[in-house]
Amino acid sequence: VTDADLHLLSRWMDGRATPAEAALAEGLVARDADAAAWVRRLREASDALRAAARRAPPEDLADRVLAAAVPAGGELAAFRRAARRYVAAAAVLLGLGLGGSVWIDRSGGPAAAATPAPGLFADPADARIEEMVLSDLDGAPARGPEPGGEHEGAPR
Amino acid sequence: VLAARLRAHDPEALREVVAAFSGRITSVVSGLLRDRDAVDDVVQETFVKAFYRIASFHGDSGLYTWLYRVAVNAAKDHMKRTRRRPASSLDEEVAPVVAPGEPAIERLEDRESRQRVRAAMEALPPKFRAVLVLREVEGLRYDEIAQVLAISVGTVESRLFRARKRLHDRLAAMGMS
Repeated sequence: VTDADLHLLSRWMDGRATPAEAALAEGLVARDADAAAWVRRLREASDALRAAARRAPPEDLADRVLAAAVPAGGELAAFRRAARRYVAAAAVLLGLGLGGSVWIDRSGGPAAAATPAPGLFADPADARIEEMVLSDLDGAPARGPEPGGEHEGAPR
Repeated sequence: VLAARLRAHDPEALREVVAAFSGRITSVVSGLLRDRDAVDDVVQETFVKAFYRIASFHGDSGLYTWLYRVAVNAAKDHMKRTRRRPASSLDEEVAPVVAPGEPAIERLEDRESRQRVRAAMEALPPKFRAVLVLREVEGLRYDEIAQVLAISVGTVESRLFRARKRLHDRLAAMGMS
């Protein structure tokens, strides 16, 4: 039996031979004991291989697969959710920044910036009390407000 | 639909895939590997990999064909990792698969026959083993085997012939009549 014969028999065993090739293969098996033995031995080997490979998967396979796959999948989903939140927050901040800069550009700056923020003690009497307290703490004599000078917490 | 749900990382879809394909994937991996414990691990690894690599499934073949591909690659990776390890004894790994009531002598002959075939298969290069398992155990068509192994149909035919020739010669040398 030549390699070409065995190749033909291999195709024939798989049902891949044309009708003409199938007729050749059947004739070969009928008249050649070696060819017949080759086919028989391989068919037996095929049966044995199927029997040897046949086995049931573990009953808890699905649970094992899910345990191995899904926690990491959950982390991935959490990461994606967090990433979406960060992107949304960054978009809001960017929008506020752009909007603010356009507004400042058009109005010449926030109106509030022209008005000094009221100090802790807006009332002049309270401001004097504040100065006295601070002086006591520093151990220095109380000073009156300097003309034209800045006084912490007092309106200009 | 199942693939779309897997892409959305739906755990229930993964459970359904395992239920539908675990038998076939286990047979393929069992045909490729000897070690019983390794078979279960590689089958599990196959489904976990499938869950994470589902984006590489484009639907141009059946989901089961793609799963076979993941399984064969996982088994090959395992073979590479354990190449230098000594093989276990045949008695350890061949589980008796017999019908109740079958005569004892036939069971023994069957078992010996399976052991010889497995030993002969073990001696084949992985590329021959893979093509034989997909054809003989799973009954895949040539074009399906070509998709699983990413080779041409002509190469499938050629490899099957060479694999069978080697398997036959080895079995003949082992005295399997």
